[in-house]
Amino acid sequence: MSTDTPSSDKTVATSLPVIGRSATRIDGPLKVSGVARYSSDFHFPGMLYAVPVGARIASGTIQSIDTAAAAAMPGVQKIYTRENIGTFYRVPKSSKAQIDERRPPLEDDEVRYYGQYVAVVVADTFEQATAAADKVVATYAGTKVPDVRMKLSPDEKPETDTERGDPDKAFGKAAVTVDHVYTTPPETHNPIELHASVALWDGERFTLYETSQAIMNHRAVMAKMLGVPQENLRVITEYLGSGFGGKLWPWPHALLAAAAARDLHRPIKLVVTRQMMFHNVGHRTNTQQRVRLGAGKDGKLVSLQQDFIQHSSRLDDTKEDCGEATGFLYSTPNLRVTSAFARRDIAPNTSMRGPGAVPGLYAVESAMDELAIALKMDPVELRLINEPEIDESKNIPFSSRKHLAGRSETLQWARCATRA
Amino acid sequence: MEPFTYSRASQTRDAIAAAANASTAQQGAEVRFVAGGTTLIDLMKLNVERPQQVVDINHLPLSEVETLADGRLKIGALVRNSDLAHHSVVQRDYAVLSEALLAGASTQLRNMASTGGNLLQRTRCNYFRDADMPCNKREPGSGCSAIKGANRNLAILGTSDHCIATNPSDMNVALSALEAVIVVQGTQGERQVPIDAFFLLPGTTPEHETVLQPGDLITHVLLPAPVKGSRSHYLKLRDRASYEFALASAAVVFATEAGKISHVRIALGGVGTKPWRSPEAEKALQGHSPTPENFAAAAAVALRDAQPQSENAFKVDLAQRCLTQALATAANV
Repeated sequence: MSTDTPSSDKTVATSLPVIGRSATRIDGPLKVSGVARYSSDFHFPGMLYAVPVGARIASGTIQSIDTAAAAAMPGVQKIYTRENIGTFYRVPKSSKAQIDERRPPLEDDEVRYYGQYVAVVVADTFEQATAAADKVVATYAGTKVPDVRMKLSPDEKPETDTERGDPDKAFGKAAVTVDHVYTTPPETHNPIELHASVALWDGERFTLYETSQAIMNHRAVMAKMLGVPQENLRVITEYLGSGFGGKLWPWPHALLAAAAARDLHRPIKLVVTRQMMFHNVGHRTNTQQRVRLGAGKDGKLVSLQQDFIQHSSRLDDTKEDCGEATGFLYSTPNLRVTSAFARRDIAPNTSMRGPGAVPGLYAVESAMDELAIALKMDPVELRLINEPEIDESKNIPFSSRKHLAGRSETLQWARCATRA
Repeated sequence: MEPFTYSRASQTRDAIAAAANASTAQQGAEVRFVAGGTTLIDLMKLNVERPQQVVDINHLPLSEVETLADGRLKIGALVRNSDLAHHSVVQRDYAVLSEALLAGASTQLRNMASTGGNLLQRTRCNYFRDADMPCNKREPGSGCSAIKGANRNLAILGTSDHCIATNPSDMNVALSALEAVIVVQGTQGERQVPIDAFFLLPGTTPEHETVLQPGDLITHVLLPAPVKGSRSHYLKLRDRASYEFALASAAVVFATEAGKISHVRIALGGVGTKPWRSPEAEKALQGHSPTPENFAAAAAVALRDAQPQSENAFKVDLAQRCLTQALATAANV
């Protein structure tokens, strides 16, 4: 990438019809007037409605699923469990196709998180399917209180992500130190538009109307997991009611809809409920981060350490990389970032806007503020003192970097600092 | 949600007759009245309420607010929370009620929620609202999950070994401080129940929350004529500034004569299993000077019998500070 050249930008802008000019969003009026069709707005003749049944426990084994009462309810066409959902294939970890919950839905009897799909009801109407889903009774064995500890087990070893110098030694000798633990809670995306899938199968080809931020990846994953060639699977997303990363990768409900369409030869609509949006379509996982800073009395950092732990599901390993930016944030000869997974009885986590950096920067920058207090130093001044010349984690120049110096007037920082 | 039949009552006696067929008017009632539906419909979707019959009472003539000849205010059970909060007489004479209503829920909910429905608002205890968990209030005898569970938001006053669920209403707290009277029509005619006697403590039967019997319909709420020279105030403390239930709240009605407290009524919210009137705190202040020290002392009396759980001990201090501040605001000191 080239360096920052604002003057030439202006020249370019005036000669182009779009860049540098204000443009009205073409989808804006369509969205606010209800003309835009979202995935769940698609209807087809003969379409049926699928409603999943979620596990009522967070950890244990399904012993039996009684579907008799539900199957006898009005409008019910079919109820799927592990017994009859059909075959799904796995996406190998080596594949470029990305999915953050690799276990196909209904694959085995283990429940590894609350709300994990254990069955899916298909009926003539959404209301009928919902009522019948309520009447599907799963019994469980070996139900355990979910393990959601943040403390690492002996076999859960932290890994070193970035390291330079001798941060322990430098921290031990530093004139001023800060040593704090910061935690961030789980965060769910929950955009206005619920995740949804409308699946059509013509005996050879799938057409899937999906709430997807990445239709090509969605096609690759779904083709693999459904066992059809990619050219026999089309993914359509006309409009998206927000994703924030939660709709980047496919989630199991899409497979349930496709499998039901394949089995019944009828269009299937499955809209994830607002409650299921908290369990079944990913979240930003919670983190615990110990940050240790050592500095001289002049405020110059001599050591920066960030040791973070994140929750992850039992089977997946999506990293919330809190140390993503730490290596090049500030100039310091000694630095180490370590990370660890705490595999617990929780649903798979996924990307959320600003993955890793958001919780990571919160912790490191909070520690910097604590250091400024310990030094009795202006917190902006502290950052300017530690501004790096280059990316010290890779020893390469920055392509662009704007620090606070030029912004302090905009921030009216002096006035804020005085007031504080 | 369970299937149910829906009917619309055009006369009060029809509504009463329909509900009189139920075996109870408490948890598990087979017949429910619906007004705003802001509590009932939610709980039906959660399978916490499973009425077989829902009787829509929105067309009954119970939407008036009327000042009686003796100075009392008669509020119809169907008066919406927004309308009541913005009613000129309520704003002038019963400010605590207006403030409490506006501190509750959101504009949309207040536009729907009725006076009678708000009186019968159900607890926000997570275990009550999760049909998969044991809960003595929802399923008598199944046990209380909250006592050893997530109880940060739950009650510290009026609790029992069977239930520590909080009454979540803001309006009820103000009505308690105003000594409201609930007018109920039932199969045996009309009766008037003081609000403090209307709500029951959980004891061994937390599924019984009020004195209502099958067929009983709340038709009105009566407020005594305003106390001359009195000021009132509602203070609500919560985790976020709006659309959130109280961790602690206080409703106070307050008057002085010759520098001494001549009239004081105190009720607390967010801390009790029912709207928590504190006659002990009132007694501690009656006839004394309106000083911050006296207010704090009365607040300590109000929380004297608090029994905090594993996660809500903070409420003991919080409620005292809340009440002290509410009194200071009402007294303008």
